[in-house]
Amino acid sequence: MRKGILNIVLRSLVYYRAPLFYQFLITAFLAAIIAGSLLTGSSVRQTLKANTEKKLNNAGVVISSGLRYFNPELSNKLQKKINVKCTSILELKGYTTNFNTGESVVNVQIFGVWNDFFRFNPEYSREELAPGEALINKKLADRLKINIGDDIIVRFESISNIPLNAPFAPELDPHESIILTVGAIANNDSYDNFTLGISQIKALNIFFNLSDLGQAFEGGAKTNRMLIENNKFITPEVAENALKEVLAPEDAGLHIRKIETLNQYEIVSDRIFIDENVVREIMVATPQASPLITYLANSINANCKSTPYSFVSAIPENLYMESPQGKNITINTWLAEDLAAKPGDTVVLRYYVSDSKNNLSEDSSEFIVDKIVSIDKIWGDPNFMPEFPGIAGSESCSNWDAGVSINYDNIREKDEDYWYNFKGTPKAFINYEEGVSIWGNNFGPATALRFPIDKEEAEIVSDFTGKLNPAKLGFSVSDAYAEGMMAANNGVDFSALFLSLSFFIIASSILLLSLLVSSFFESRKNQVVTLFSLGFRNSKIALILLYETAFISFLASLAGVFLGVLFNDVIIYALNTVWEGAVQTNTLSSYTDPGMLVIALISTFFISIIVLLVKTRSFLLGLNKDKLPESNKRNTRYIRWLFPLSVIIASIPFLTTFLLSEKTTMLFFIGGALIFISLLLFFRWVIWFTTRANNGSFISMKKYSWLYYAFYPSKALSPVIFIAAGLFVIIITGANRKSFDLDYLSNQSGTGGYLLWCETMTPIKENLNFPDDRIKIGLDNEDYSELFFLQALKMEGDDASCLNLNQIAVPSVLGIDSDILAHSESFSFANALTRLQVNNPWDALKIPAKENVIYGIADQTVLTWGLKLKVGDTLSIIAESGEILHIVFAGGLKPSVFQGSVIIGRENFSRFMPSIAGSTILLARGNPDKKEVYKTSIDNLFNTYGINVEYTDDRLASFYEVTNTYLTVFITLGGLGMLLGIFGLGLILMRNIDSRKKEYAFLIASGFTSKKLRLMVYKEYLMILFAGIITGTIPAIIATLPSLLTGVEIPWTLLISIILVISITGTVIIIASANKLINFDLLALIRKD
Amino acid sequence: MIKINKLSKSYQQRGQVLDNLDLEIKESCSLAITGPSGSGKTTLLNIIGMLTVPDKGEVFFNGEDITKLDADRAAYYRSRKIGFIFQDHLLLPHLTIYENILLPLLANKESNNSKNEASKYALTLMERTGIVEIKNKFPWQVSGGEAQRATLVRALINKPELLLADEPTGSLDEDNAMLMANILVDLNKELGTTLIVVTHSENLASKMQKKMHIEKGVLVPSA
Repeated sequence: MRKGILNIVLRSLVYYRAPLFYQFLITAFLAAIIAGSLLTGSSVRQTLKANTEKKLNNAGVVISSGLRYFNPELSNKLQKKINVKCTSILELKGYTTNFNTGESVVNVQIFGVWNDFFRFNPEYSREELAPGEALINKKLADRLKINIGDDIIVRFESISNIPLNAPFAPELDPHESIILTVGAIANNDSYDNFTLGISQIKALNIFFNLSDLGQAFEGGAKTNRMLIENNKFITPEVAENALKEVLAPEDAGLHIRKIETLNQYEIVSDRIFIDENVVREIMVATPQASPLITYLANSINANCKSTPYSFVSAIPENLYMESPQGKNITINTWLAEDLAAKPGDTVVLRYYVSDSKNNLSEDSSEFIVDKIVSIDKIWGDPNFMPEFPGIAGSESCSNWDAGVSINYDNIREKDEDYWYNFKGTPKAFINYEEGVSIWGNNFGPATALRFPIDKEEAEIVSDFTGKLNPAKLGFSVSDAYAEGMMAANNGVDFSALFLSLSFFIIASSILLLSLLVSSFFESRKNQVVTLFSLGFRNSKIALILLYETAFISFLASLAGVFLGVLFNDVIIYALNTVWEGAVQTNTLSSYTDPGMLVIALISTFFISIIVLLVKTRSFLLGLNKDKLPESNKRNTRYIRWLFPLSVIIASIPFLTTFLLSEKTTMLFFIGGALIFISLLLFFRWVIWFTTRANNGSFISMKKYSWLYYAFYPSKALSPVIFIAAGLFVIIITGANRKSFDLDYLSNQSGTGGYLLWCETMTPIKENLNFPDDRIKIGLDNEDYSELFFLQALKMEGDDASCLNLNQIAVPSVLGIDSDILAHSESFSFANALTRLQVNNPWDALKIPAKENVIYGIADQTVLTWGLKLKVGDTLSIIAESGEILHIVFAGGLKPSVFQGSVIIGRENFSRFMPSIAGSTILLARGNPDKKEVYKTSIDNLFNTYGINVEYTDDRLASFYEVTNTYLTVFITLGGLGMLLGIFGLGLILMRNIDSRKKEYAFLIASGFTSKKLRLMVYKEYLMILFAGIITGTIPAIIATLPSLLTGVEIPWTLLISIILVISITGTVIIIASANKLINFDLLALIRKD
Repeated sequence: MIKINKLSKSYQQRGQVLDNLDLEIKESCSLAITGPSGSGKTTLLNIIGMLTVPDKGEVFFNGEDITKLDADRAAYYRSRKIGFIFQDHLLLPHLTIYENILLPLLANKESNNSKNEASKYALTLMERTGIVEIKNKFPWQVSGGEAQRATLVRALINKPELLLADEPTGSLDEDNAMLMANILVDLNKELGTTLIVVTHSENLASKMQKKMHIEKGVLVPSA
């Protein structure tokens, strides 16, 4: 029996090949769209993965010391330990200038490398770089317009072991520069793409030999990143454990040195101040170690006398038996004599303290002299004074570069003598606890840790070996390869994106398929009735119909998915060219993922089977029903009052705009949507009104046409709704392009009221709103009197904005003075954490850290798409010291210039990223009429900082470009979908015409001429087409009127083209259908010869 | 009124159905044509009604050969001179009985007076045929007999000179068939409309003034 059914099916397939071919075509088209969309997502993912492979230069696990530096020798020790290639590099950010032309490029990645870096990836192994030579990538070479052999100036932030804003750090030039000769240009290899960041956008790269930077570091070159060859056995845990085993204090800038006079060892840091974390770690390794802090007092005062610029040490009670306790101070004989002080006297210390923002200010404390000691043994140890670079080694006090304001006039001859004789030997000693409370700062609570006198060096080294936790010393270990792959995998889902952007095409295809299947089944009516009368059960008939159509669907799905490969190629080509704004790169490649093809095949087949099942069921149910016409809808009287009522309702939002003028945009949108409904009801009303019962009157031609639709309103309303809804959505979407209104400089807008967004490559330490600093910079001109700066510190991270297709885990973090933004109520929040008792979400940023938990703010877009988090969620990042810092999001901003970064409070930023010495982000506000002047001036004044100045609206526009490109894609694909829908509409018309053929035949038989009939059909269907176009277009224009009036750039050309194409295609289809009708021998239907 | 000379018509599948057929019908006369299925009765009716084109031969309508008319002139004849009752009643389901009856008037531009007159005339005919009560009903709300009487009124609305009826009682029960037959005959007499009926019904045929049988493509008088 089954063979019998198959036989029927096969014969049917052959006999009905023509109508089934249309089903094949549309199903294949649907499969192509689905497969193409899925392949696009897969292609983007594969491209990002391939980029990850290429850009890491064969690195797998990467060890980073963040803002600090380590000894490059560490990579050799690690390589020996794990037996896998390791190399240390120095990663900096800066800018570069073509020496000959002066052409500058900012935002350049600068890598100091040893030559083993060039052998790290066997695939891209290349010649070594000679000292003084640079390898730059093609993108940078193009920007610089430079060739091999030309010279470049490379500028970057000064490299120093000591944070520039640490107390007593010397006043250094904030920038360093080197001149290099371009030795090679990397193109399409690891070096061209190299970056440790996560982004699909190719970076601008310079590589140079680390030996060129040797002099920048005291004691030889240092590095801040270590690459470990990609190896499946080397996980971050393995690497971290190995690092722990080989890590020596020297690698992290800690030095064990012997105090000869005391026969005692101590540990000091290149950074002068030793982090609290490191102090704890050392004390865990050698519990007998005692921290101490030695500080420069601006003056020591007693008995109306003052001793200037003296070092004072704070030592713990357990270090030396004679250590002072409580508020006692031990002074040496020199000081006692100078101040005429004796035990019991009160001594006042004046000193600079580093506040929560790492700014220095003078403070004082009182102590009681407990004893006076001679300058010998422990009290005569000059090693207490840390190796302050501007002080240690100075011939005299007058030569000090203490990094703080020194009044050299106060320095006396005797002070110079003391310096000459005793160098930095402290003149006074206080208790360590007291010292930490007044001098401890974000950079650490100690300047040294001393070991017990009897402890030998070997013993100390042994204590440390394998005991130092790299994380506690500021090292972070990550699997850059795996993270890159994960970021690519979890990035923007282009499959889902293009499936949704292709919504109209997919919906139209399904509609068309459904109509084709209905038509096909209708044409089989007689055959089915025959089978039914022969005793075939409904289920068997359904099976026959389903077998036939499902077989075609499968074949079509199979063919379609291969067409999808072509569709994917087209999309990828468009994304690399005309739609580049959406992806910010032109390096996407097409990939054919067999898995995606299978998913597309199954999905399309599944969708078509659902359509076939529904259609088969409704067809057979329809056949079984008593074929009485549907109930008479001509006398539906509700429409009489429903339309006027809808007009009244639609007018409410427009009238409300007078009361709620700030909500005009939303009210117009609601009003437009209501007008859309009103127009549909109007159309229905016109049908009712024209055909309303008027017994005894003569029917006109016009009325005759409407009578059909009065009886079958859905046959007119469905196509009108389809066209109107499609156009309404497309036009609304087109007008929804992100743009700027006249109010874009208001405080609540995405610019926050700021005119300029500036980013420097090297930090600016000055406060640009302080008069003294403005004079220093040159901002004291009258032109700049209204210019105000919001300065932000920045910890580099990955771009979390919509410009990055990857999902990133470590965004850049900005430290901002939130008071300024709270006071001016700048920017607007899309979401805010309600549980916080603050007036303004900005105030949450001032809440001090509690157990390393602080509050942060980011653009809602960044939260949702970049970080896949929401307000109230926590982002954990590694602070400078290696601690985990938890940022709880207190608010999500509406689209703003901050997109791409996470914002935290300035105090918390300085607490957790103390080495970041100045601001690199500047937001400038002032007189909008002078914004060009401001831009030019800031560009010139901060030229040496490698500044990039952009108008805030331009910056916002660059973010909007992504959204706008997606909207363009949606409109384009939506237009194509509409066009396909119009073909579907044509099919509906054909079916309508077909179902009315007998009626038309009767009219011809009654004396209608062909011309009259043709005109009647034209009019009816053109009326439907243009009713749809008008119903879709007019409300959409009204709904978007506020946007139109504020000059939003609407793609009119594209929209008008779509409307025109729909109008022309629809008209052609209608004329063709009507002509086909007229050419058909209608009379044959009724003559029954 | 109608004169047919040597009319022939053949179909690819069925072969020759009319073979040099001759016929002459006088004005106001009623004629029944009978014959077995497939004998060509309906074809002959369709040729007279200009729904089918003959292979050869002439059909004169008041002296004008209607087989040679262009499309517009043929439409004019169909709308003004000929009324047609089809086997299927062909009433449009979305129009009321009254609207269906008035539908043929749309084929021509009518003055308001004519429209009013036609409306009144429709009501008169409906009254005459006993369907005025159903004027505002839809075809699917009335009985088969009522629907067929409505098609008769519709065929007469333009006051045609010739009424062609193809099996007008074919789908009716005996009572309704009798009623329809009587109405046809009465109206033929009252209105003077020439009537040609194609039927299998002996009853109906017997009520016509003239009765012919079609056999092997030619008409022969019935017994």
